[in-house]
Amino acid sequence: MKKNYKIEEEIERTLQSLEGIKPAEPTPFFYTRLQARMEKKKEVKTGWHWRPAYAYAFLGVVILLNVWTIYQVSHRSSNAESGEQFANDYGLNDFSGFDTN
Amino acid sequence: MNDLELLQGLQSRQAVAFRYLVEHYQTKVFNTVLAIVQHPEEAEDVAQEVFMEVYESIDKFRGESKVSSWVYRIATTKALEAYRKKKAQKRWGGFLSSLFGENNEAMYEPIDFVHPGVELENKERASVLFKAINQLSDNQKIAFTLHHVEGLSYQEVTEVMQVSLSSVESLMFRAKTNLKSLLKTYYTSQ
Repeated sequence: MKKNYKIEEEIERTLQSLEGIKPAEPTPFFYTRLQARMEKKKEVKTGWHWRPAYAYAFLGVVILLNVWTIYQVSHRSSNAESGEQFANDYGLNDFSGFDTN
Repeated sequence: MNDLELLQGLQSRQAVAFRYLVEHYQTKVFNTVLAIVQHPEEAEDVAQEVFMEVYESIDKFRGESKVSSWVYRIATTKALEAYRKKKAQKRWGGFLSSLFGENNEAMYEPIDFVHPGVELENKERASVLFKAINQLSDNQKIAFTLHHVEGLSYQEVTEVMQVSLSSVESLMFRAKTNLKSLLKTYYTSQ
């Protein structure tokens, strides 16, 4: 009973421990540090690579490079196919080099 | 500078208005954030983010509430976001170290938070109370800290949280009941 009363008292005293609390202050030069952070953020956002024109141009170059690569690969394989066809047509597939004996 | 002048100044991107806002609200914002994130360096970081958000979203503010309520609202939202992020990181960190067999208990046990504004003789008790506050639901936590740490009236809390007076009264009642229960568990185990 006595223990319960003591616990209730502890709870009440703990709940009241914030009475008279004073506001906590941020460290000095808060505004200066905030300004510096905002400037830094602005620099990152307004860097040349963030401008839409540059971003679209870069994207265009990447797409063109991809198209060019796909074209080159498919063209090369069609060349190889036609070379093989030519060899078959003229019976060149049996050629096994010059006989040196 | 009244609310209307401040708002007009901020919307026309006047440096004087922004400086006034920061200097007038920095302690309120920092104090509110600190009570939720319970870490001074992190609270300062979040407080800076609050002002950056105010600056960036000033055009969206239509003046339907006081500037102070709006700033408090951004502060509590940002603080809760930061708190949740920290909690998730801790959980993930704990999971990783449990995978690799490290002793994560010592690493991720939260450090006791002592609010710098609490009177010396109450520091230990306040630390216990802040630990219990951490376990409240988001809304109860906001209502309780805005009233008891920041000293806002119930009416002001309704403006920040955009709820009715009866809702704030109910939140405060439930917060106190839950805190009593948490503290009872704590003191019984002592």
